[in-house]
Amino acid sequence: MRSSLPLVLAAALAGQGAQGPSWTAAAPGYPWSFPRDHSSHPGYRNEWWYFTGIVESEPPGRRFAYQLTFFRVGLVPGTPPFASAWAAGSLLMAHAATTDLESGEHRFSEALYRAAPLLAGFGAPGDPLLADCPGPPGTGGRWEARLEGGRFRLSMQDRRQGMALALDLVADGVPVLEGPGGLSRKSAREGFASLYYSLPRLATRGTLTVDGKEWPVRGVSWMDKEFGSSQLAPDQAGWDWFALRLSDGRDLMLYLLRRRDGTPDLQAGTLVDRSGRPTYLGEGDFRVRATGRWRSPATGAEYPAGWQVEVPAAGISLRVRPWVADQENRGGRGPHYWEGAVEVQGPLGPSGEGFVELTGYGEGNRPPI
Amino acid sequence: MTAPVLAMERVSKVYRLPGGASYAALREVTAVVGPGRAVAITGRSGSGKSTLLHLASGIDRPTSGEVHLLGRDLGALGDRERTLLRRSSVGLVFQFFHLLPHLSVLDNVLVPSLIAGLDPRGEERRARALLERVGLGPRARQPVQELSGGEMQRVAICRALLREPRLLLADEPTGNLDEENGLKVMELLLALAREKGAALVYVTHSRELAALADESWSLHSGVLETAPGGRAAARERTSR
Amino acid sequence: MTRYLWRAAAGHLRGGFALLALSALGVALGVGAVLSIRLLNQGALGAFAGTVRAVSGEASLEVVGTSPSFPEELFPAILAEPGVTAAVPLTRTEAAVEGARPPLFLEVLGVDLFAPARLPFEGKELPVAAALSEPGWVAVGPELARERGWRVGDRIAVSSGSRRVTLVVGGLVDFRRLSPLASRRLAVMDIAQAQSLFGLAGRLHEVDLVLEKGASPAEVASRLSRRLGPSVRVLSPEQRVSEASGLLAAFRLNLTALSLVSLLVGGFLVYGSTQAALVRRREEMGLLRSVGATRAQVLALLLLEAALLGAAGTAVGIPLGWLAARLELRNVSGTVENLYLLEGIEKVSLGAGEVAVAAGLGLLGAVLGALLPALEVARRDPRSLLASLTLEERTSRSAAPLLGLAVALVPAALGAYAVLSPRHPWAGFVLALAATLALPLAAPCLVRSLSRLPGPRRFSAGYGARTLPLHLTSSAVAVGALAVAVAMLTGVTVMVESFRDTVVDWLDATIRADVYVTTPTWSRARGEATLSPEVLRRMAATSGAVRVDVVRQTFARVRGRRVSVLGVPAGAPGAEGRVRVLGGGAGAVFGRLASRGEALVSEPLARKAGLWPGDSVRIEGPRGEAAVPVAGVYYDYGSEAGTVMLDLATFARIFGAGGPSNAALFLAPGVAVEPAVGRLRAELADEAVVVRSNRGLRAEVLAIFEQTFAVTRLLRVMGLVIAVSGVLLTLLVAARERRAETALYRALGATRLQAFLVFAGKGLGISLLGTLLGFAGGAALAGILVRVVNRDFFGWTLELHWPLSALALQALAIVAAGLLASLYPAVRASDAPATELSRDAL
Repeated sequence: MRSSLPLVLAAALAGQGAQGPSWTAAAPGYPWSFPRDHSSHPGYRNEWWYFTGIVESEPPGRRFAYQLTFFRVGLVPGTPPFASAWAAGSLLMAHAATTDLESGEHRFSEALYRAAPLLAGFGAPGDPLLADCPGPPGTGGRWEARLEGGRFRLSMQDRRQGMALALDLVADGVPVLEGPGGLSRKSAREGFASLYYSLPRLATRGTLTVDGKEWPVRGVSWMDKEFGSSQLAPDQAGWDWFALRLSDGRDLMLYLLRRRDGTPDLQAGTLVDRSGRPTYLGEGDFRVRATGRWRSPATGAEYPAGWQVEVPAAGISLRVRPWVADQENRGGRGPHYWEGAVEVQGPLGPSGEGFVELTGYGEGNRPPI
Repeated sequence: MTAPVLAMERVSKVYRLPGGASYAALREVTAVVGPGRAVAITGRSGSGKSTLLHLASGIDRPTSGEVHLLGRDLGALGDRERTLLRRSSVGLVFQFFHLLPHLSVLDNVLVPSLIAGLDPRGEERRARALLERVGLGPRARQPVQELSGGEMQRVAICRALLREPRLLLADEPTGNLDEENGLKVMELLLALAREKGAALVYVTHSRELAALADESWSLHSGVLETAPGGRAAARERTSR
Repeated sequence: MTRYLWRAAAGHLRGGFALLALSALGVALGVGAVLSIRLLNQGALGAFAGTVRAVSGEASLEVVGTSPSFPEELFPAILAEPGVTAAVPLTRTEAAVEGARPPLFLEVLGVDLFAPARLPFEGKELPVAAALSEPGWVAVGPELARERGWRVGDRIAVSSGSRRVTLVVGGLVDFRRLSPLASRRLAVMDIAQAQSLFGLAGRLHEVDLVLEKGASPAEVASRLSRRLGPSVRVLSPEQRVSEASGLLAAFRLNLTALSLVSLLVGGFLVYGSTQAALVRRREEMGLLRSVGATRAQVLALLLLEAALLGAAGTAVGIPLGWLAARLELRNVSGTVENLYLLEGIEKVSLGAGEVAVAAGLGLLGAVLGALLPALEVARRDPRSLLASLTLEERTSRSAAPLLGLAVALVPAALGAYAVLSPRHPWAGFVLALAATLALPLAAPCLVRSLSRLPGPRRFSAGYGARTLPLHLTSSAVAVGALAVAVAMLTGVTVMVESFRDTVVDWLDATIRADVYVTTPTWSRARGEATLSPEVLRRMAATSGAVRVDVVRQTFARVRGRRVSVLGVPAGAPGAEGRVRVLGGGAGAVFGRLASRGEALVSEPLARKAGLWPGDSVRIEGPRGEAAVPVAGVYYDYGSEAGTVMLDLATFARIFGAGGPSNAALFLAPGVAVEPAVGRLRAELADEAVVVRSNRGLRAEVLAIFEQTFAVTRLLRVMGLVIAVSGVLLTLLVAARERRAETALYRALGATRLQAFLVFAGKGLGISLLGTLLGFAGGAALAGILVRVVNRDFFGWTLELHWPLSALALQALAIVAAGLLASLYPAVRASDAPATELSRDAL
């Protein structure tokens, strides 16, 4: 049963062809408006809400990292006109992970449901609900992301993994548009792009359950929201993505797309200054060099581990190091990828912390978007 | 001279053996048995004695030559006609008696009439008379299995004589009996044949018994030699 | 000794090829009969089990609807249940393919394509967008697609209830990859489409659950049952299969019993032929013993020979059984579908296990059959072996004790029945078995009595018959075997005829309306296949219509059984004519359905579940258990599992509102029925309905009946063939054994014709005795089958009808066949020349 699901999913996602005729393409000149754009955009094929953060328990000061992501995967535009509560045009996929930065224990949980009233769904603008779904079968509870009174309220639980989140993220500040007009190009070729914004510093507090033990925590989260209809070009295999908060108040987002043969394709980024003003970084504006490798014993995939990041014009030279080597997210129902908290050291400048995401490593593991 | 009961002329019987070889059981046998005559046939095993009896009774047919039974050429008759002729005119006695074990003494004697389609009850009187004659009258209702060998053969003789055949053929009738019993049975057979006026041809290994016949034939590898029997000689002696 | 066996074997083969071939045939037919029934039995369940395995193969539990669907709102609770790691919601719809002859039903699974279901789609990529959004998108089985010439993109018109639906072939899904016996009719579509197209919005039929490692299915099941309430049942797939097997148990046991009779006859033949062959070969055995073979060696030799014979018979019997199973497939499948509403059998597969069982039966049967005679020979000393006729004497002496045993069987069987019947419905088979066993036991005495007949006047057929007691063993065996076969034939014929007459009477009494309207899927889907209100409106409006009665139907559980529940307009004028009530008085009893909301239960249900007037029938409905007082018991031959009849109001109280499954139209007096049927068909042309006249419906019911009993035809023919071979075998043995005797007769002047007639007379004697004995046994068997087995086992009261002309014809056919079988041995016998009269003893 399980074995054939990724097949269905991959077929669902990849089989549609890059240019579904009635999906809206991510294009320049998108009229951003918040909080409306925090809600879903069903005209675009894919959309995700990405929350990552590093938190610390209120005494004795144990540090954890967490991730909660909701994906909207469009299968057909609109909802098919059937007299059935199961009629659905899209799927909801949700990923959650916790990492105990002391013990190095990384846990991952996932859920995948059709977006149908009985199961999962995305709120329309005005609805405090952004996305929700049942947790994995047999675990009880629902996974949710809500926007209420200027706060993102996140919750999930997975009894089987002994993990749960219940966090409030204060959504202050103006969203950073990640690319001119919020358009984030993913390929030199036309049409491969997404609309992308971030909230890099969300004051976070709530509880986090790791290994069945609940911790009151506080810390900072980064929210990423992206939607589009075709992101990855056919010849691209995956990407490395960095979201780093520097101690001098600047935030740095970088992504590097790789071709299927492993060579670098396109790279871009955004440097946000303390006042929230973005500077868009292009091909020649920064360098990222892997300084180590880590092979996953579970999947055999080999990931870079540790980087030297240079943004010469901004005086940034950073050593980025995974807090824990194994922060690979391995589920049964989708590609595996590495998503984890990193430590940032800048002997010649600011230091900091953040998250790195590494996709498309290992055999047949290309993200189907 | 009256017409012979059995006449064989240049009779040969050749068996084809598997593999194409052949084996002559009888070679050019010519012989005549007159009415009421008693003939003994001697010879070693395999000399053709039984074959000769089979041909004489019409059970088997010769390879060449003619067999005349009561003046009828058996070669010209079909199986059914030969069978009917045998039924009415030939009585057979066998070495192993060949009685039907499930029948009583009387019923065994009556089998030929049953086969002939006669009402056995009409024949019963004659059958009983025959049994009286051989000394088995009181045992008529007994199962044959309770009889001794000599008694069994007497029953067989009664059976052979029931239809009053003109020719009686006996294949080693004493072969399965001890010497004393054998002699008694043989004497009874000869006496009965004479009483009923039937010609008798019998096969025997015993010179003594052969000597009781009117003539004695001997077979050597299918070739017949005839000679006056011991009885003829004796008769001649007594008549002298 | 083995070396001796091989050396002697060639000689035996040459000497008695026909005899050996016939003995082997006996084994072959016995093995064939059992194997074919086993295959069909297995197929009957295999189809259901295979489909369950294919669809719910990985599931540890299945949540299934009580009625039979349940509200989908329960799904999230099922999904959240601790221990569950995957939950796949399903709808199931039997969709009739329009215009298919013979009728074809797609079993359409509506599946959440994104639930972790194991769906064996063919091809690399599933066109998900089309599956989700293109109306009617369905994946069908590749075998069925090939058969029907369906290609991707083809439209298929189907119906569910009176609703018409157009499906579009979008892909192939091959459940046989998961389970070879899965139905080829399985088709898959997205659950949203299935609910929408088949009118199932808000309803599910099943949720398949995969559990966590270490979770106890029983615990999860009981928690879920408590949580979800009475509208669902939580079962393991094994439980579902075993429920189906419970449904089929009576049917399967019935078939098995019939096949065992064939085996019995076959084994009996082996016994007889071995006995006969040993009579022939006793001197050979005597010789072996006298030259130093031990008893054990002789026994081993004989048993080894028997085993070889069994092997030869098995080698023929296995393909024979397989062939027979294939020939009967359609009929048995029809019964399983029509009477038990389970998956039809699409194929039988001859697994290694079945081959092993068949081979084991064949070998064991042959060895067991040979054991007694072989022991008998081995026990003797060489001298008595060389002496003549001792073996025959023994049987002759044991004839009377055997008859005594046969007589003693009667009280013994009755006693056993009395003890067993209150608890075991199959107890009636003990009586049937005793009746069958008594026949061969009585045979020796019967044959021996021939010798008490007055002596024959002529040396002809009569003489032959009268001398049968002389080879008592072989003739008694032949007579016994023939008698068993004839008894079986007669018993089953009488039972089938009685059943048919009873059903005809029942149909006469209960089919009262002029025109019946139902849907193509009704027979398989019952309550789920409903008539739209539009159909009822048009029926009522058709010219000449006086009244339209509707019936609602569904399945529910009563005391752990799945029974059919019927809702009828009990208050309608003349409604009591619908049933005949045990003990009479339908009017008064029926009135209580409408006035007091009581129930009628069908006779099978009453007998099996012990529900009688005064009791309450507890119906497990979607809203929980409803206890309905039983007003009476009515005769019903439509469902073996049983039926509960309620007034429509009571039905709705238990099962909620819903459409009728079928409707009956009463016409005004003088309105011609067939033209009215034609008119109604035209008026309902755009609805998927089946319009039948009173006569048409009766014809159809009887056709189903015929199909149900068609399988008995095979067994009847097989039994007869075995029995006639028995006659042939016996006479061949006798021809050989009695060669010297015949030669003597020939020497004493018996013509060839006479010798032939004597033998034909033996054949005739065996046939006549066998038939006579068989008919006596058959009458007993018929009485037992009709009066006891059917009542105890199926719960049906049948009237005993004797189809005398058919039986007479059968008797004639058997005697003729027996006579025919004796011709060849008789010719062989009459060929024995008088020269055969060697110096051997007789």
